[in-house]
Amino acid sequence: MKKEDVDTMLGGMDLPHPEHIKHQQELKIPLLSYKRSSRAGLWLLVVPVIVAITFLLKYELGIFFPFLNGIQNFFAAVDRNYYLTYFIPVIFMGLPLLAMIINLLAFCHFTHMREKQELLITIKYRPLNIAVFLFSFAILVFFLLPDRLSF
Amino acid sequence: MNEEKLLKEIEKDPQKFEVIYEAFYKKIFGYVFRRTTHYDAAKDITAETFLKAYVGIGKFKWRNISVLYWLYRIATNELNKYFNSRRYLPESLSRIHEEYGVDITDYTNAETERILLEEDLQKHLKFLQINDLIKKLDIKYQDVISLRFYEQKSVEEIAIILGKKEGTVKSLLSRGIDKLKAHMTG
Repeated sequence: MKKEDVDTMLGGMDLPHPEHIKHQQELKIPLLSYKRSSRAGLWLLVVPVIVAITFLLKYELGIFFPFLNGIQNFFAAVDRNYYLTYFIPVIFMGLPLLAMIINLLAFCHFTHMREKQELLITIKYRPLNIAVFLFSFAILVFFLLPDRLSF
Repeated sequence: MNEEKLLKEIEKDPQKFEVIYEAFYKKIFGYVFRRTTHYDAAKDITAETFLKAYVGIGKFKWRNISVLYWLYRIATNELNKYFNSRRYLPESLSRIHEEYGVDITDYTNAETERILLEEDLQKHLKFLQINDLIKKLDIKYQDVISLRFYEQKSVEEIAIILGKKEGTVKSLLSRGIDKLKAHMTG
């Protein structure tokens, strides 16, 4: 057998071409949502966490930083404004609540079984989402305590 | 598809990666499947390839070279890991599995699809025989031969995919075919 024969044989080979692939669509959604939900939750928590730290340092530990006072003064000014004051609960309760919902949906799956009239709730083990969910819940509880939203 | 424009759009909205996924998934799966002739491995390697591409698309700089070549390169690297280790472990997929507890390659119609593809594969006996011989060659020869004859890529394209000089690719092809011939006759 000559080298050219091998070349011709390889070139003229009938190859398998997998055409009927269905798994492509099922793989797409989890692949494209990778890392997104927990990240989204974390971004939503940035402002409430900074303000919560300000509160803790100032009132619980008695530590004063000009930067942290500046943040508190800024939100105090927002709170005094007739219209902007409505943003205060949105920022400090709405955003952690939204982060909670996003992350809850990332690890909880709901399936409605029509035939059996059952709602199946599956909890997937996704530590990052569970951690962000619990952290959001803690932040929400923190701002639900009396006087936390009075700047 | 204007890939340069698409890459800029992906920078702003990563979800646009879907266009690349839809356009090239079958090609990459086909390439990996022909090389491994194993459905589950092909599925894992292809998923790993697209996951790596999705995470690293920001590092891909447009130089008038299609994203498809980059995907071929990632897939080829994953194939090399697969052939070089007894038990292939797709790193990014495993990380997702550890962090989120989800197996993104676990889907409902896997069994039916596996049967269909493996049945189709059995109709290509000549290919299977030659592929078994190709698998006995060094991985560097497997890469160039499969890209040249399975994927119908030119020497220039193979050089781009593998990041080698055209002369090196020609030489690898020539020596690879010599070695394959030796296996066929020996």
